[in-house]
Amino acid sequence: MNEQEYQQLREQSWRRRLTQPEETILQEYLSANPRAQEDWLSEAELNQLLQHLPDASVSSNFTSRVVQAAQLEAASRQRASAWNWPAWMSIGNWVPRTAVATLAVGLVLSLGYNQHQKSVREQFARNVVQLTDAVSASDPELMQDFEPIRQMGEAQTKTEAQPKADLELIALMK
Amino acid sequence: MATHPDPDAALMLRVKRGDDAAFAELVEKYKQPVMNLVYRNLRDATEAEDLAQNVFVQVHKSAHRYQATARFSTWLFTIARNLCLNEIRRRSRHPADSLDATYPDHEDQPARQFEDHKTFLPTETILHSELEQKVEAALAELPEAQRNAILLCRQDELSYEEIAEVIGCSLSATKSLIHRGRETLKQKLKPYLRSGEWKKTAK
Repeated sequence: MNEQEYQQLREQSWRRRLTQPEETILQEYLSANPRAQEDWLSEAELNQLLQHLPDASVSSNFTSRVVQAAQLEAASRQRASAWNWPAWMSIGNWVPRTAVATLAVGLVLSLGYNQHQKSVREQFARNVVQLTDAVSASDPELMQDFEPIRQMGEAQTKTEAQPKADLELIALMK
Repeated sequence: MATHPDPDAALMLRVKRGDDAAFAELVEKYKQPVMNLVYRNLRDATEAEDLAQNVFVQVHKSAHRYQATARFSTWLFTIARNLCLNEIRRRSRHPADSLDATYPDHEDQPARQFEDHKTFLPTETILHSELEQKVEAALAELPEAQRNAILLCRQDELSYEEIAEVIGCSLSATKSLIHRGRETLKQKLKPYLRSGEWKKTAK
């Protein structure tokens, strides 16, 4: 037996008791290799220690408790799957999911549109208030030249010319 | 019907078809090895029994996914090891109070005193019990993969390939884990191995 075969026997001894032929081969190897004897002694001692470790205690009703727990778990699983069956098997998974997603998107869009409408109406109301205030606060005489002034502005926009200062008008106003 | 070289796989296929008697047979056969593995990972008998129960419930729950391509025991011990790992991780995230923790005012005393019912044992039993405690403590101090690889070696029916599958390592890495773990154990238990006390007291 060579070193490699000794190592294989050593590894086998970790898992199980060596057979009689294996023991014989091992003893022959050990007598020819005294240096391996100490190594083998400690291996054999540790093997025996591990083999003699006591079993952990198990309750006498362990099996019945496990079977009962497994049955309960299986029953609750069946109930859960039966509860979902109509929705998730007959209609299909994608239908309710798509419906929920569409509803959510619709809700968001509707809320956004309502918000937009509300802000437009508020802005309109503010403009009306400002205009009403302006009209009520102004003197009617001041408005008599409103139409010519507005037309002057329109004429300038049409020609796209740069506005020119009306020097005569400025002089008159002074 | 096809015959299965692994009788447990055949039982498991019966479980898959809803046979609770086959399930009870599997639990009865494997409760002790599973309990040994779980107990030596958690070191708490009550928690170990609860977790061992969960292992079998998980087996029952996953029966529909079971394929008889691998040995049943490999599959079972993989589930057991994974649940142990989860529990060890959970404990590390939420460490419980240690029984050895001391109050600041009474630093020389443990926080809680628990009655020890093991009294007046014969000398040999005490020696043996002490030795067992040393071995258990040395095993507990090993890294998880080394500990479980060594413990799975005690399961006669598991080959190194199957142990490697449970541990999730290559064959050579698994053997290396076992070798390193055993070397650590030998160092820690050196005084006991040399004294030969275990020989006198071993059953």
